Amino acid sequence: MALKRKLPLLLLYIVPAIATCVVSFLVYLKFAAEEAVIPEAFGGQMGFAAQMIARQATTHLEARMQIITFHANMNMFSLLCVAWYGSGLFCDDRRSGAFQLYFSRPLSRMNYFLGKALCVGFFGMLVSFGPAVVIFIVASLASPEWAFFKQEWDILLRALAFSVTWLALVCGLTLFASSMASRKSFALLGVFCFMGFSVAVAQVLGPFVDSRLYATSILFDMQAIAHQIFEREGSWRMVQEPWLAWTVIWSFTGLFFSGAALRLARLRIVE
Amino acid sequence: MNEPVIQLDRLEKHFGAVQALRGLTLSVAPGPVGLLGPNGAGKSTLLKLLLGLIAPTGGCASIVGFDPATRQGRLAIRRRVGYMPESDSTIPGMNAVEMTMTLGRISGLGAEDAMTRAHEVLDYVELHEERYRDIEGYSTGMKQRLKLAQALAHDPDILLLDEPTNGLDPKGRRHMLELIEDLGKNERKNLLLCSHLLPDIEKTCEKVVVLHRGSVVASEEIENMTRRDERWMRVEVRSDSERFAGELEREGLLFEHTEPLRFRVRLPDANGEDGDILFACARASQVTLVSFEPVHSTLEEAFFKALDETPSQPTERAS
Amino acid sequence: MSLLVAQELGRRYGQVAGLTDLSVTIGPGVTGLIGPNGAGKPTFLKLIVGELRPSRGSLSVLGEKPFANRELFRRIGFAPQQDAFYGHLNAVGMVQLLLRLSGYSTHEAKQRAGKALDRVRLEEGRERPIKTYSKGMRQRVKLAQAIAHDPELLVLDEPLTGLDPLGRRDVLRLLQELADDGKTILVSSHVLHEVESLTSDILLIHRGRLLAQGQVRDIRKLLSQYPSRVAITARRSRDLGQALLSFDEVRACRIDPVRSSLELETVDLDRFLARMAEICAAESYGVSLMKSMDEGLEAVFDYLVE
Repeated sequence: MALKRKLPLLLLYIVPAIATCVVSFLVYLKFAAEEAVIPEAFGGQMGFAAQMIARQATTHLEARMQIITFHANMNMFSLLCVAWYGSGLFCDDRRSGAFQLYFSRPLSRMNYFLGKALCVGFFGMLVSFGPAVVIFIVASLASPEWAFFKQEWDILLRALAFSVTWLALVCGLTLFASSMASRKSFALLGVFCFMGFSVAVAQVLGPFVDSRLYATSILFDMQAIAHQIFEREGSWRMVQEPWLAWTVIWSFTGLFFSGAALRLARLRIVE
Repeated sequence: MNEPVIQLDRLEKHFGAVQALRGLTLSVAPGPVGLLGPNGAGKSTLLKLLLGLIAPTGGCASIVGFDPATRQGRLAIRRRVGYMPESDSTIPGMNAVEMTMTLGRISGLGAEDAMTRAHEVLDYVELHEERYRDIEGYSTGMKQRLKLAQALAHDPDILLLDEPTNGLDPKGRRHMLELIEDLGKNERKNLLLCSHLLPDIEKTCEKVVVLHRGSVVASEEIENMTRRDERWMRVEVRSDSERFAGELEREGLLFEHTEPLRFRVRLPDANGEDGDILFACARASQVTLVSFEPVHSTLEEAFFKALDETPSQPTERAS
Repeated sequence: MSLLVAQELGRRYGQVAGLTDLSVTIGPGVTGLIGPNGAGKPTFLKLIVGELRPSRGSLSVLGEKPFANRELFRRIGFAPQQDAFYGHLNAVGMVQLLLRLSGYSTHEAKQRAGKALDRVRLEEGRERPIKTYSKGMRQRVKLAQAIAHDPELLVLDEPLTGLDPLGRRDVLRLLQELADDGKTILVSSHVLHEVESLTSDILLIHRGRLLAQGQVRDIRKLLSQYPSRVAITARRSRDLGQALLSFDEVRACRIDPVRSSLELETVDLDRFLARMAEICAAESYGVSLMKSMDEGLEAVFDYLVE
């Protein structure tokens, strides 16, 4: 029935889903390979223990890297999923007259807005944060006595922080575009135009005016934030000061959400 | 239960400099009521108020027992009111059952209740297997019926129907009017029907409220507004109306030749309502008498009178 | 003089038969185009105003074939059902634009626009952009642009939607005036009582075919399988009922003595009326009401579109 319409969304999810499975499997293999190592080959218990610890640390680090890299690459996918799913949320309801049906009932506009935002946020989290959780669980189960879980639990929180930041922006942008556009395709266009525009502006202003203006690009900002959250020393980034990145991201997020909320508040029923 | 469903006392509402409603006093009794008024009379503002969407700026109001001046009041009103909007209204991506159910739940019904009621109201508006199909493919008639169904689902205290026959073909119009008539006259549901089509209102409502420039200019039973004047008859002949006119004159009857084949004839007092003399005149002038009935003004005439305007009937020329 | 002649007119959309074998002539005055929803009426209108080309048969409007006929467009005024405006223009600007496209000079276009808007009684708000207009105002602008260039043929699709009773009255009057001026007006509408108040000449299209054309009364006569139903209120209802049952033409008669009313069915209305007059002139039954229940357009429509 409505499956035909949901098909593109499902297809979009397949890529991250497959990727998650593959990566999880690789991580699992790594841990399994470790367990197969026999102590005798390493000359004595003491030496062995030290070596084991070292090897474990490497494995853990590799697993962490998997999660982080995965995160970095899933940015675009979560944007795509959220934009595809969410761009129709407000404008489709307006075009179909659903607003009249909703708001002639005891439903406050705030509840409606939150409901839509959470829906969109949930889907976004599935794509953005979900893989991290899956890989983390696989790694925890595969590592001996939950070592991964006990030692590297912080990676999950960092991934969460990153996801929330990115998703807040993307959801806000999508909802704002949806509240401004008259149809879904325009809203979708709006979302990608904004992203493209922000990168383009940064590429123009950055090299010629001030290197800090690279912060105009959302993607560069997220890069910087990733750098800080995941403590990726030495990784290349365009925006040097993390506080600049945070400010830009959260300002836009705030703007988008307020803009969307305002549009919704001023909506007229009956007329 | 004879409590008025809606009680407005010197209600005022203005938007900035525009006074939309002024000193509106109205008491809407239970049953089917028509709401008439020229464009710009304040109908949409009044509707918004009755829907619990806005608060008055002056006067008091009690709508289905709640006060729209407070936020809780307005929420409570929206729980108890059913609205059938004028324009197309559907929820994208759902079928009729899902939509009715979802809206029922938002109105406060529990999940099970909402499902049961959804099927009940869809039965009532005669949407059968179609209810499982995507709304996109519905005809105008089906969409209108669905709109009515969703307004009924939560068993509201009053139904607000805004131009319910919009865009319907003659069969669809009749079907919709029959449903509304049933709701109002048989089921005794309270309804407020907003329409520019006066015959629709005449068919389905018992009482009518006329709005003009933000106030109520008339609020009465349709029967009273379209009272018959037993003495005058509206007469139609098949042909040769001049001969008929001549005969009426010969009989000394007072009459007006209103249209080529129509007359208004005043019967002699002595005869009471007896139209037999018309037969005699018809026979004498060898004209076929097609019909005659006591003159009663239509709702349209009454409406224009309430607004101090001239109706659309051609000006009557006295003979 | 027939202004519109269609002969075996047909139009297909792929497999869907929009119109089939339509042969019709329309002359001056107001003709009502009615019919249930579904292919047919909109197709016919589009063929008349030249938006579509016939698949079969021929169509001649004001003596010419309408498809892509720019000269002919100037003699036709069309008010479609949907709004098709440039929202940022105001009423005068919009009508003016369309007039200029028809070939009028700026100055004359402005004058005509003003006059047309006067005629449709759009009094206030002419300077505001159309997107701020209410439904009723938009409808008036639509009508204004259809009459501004003084066309010989007016094609109006649901011209009264959105208008309040005052507006309806104004437009009905206007159409009557235009018809009296000798224009040909084709009004397509679902609201039968309004069509009836305008004209008794109708065209009924159903499922792409012409179902009936002509005066409502004549069409009713053709539907002889449906006996005419007549309602009578009389003091001596029982006696009258019995007397009427003796007529050959009266097929059935239901008497309600409580309400002093009768409802009867007759297969020949005119004969019945003549006989009725006879017996009532001879004897007084105290008749205070006599009228046909199913001679009007609604009844005829119902009978035709089972």
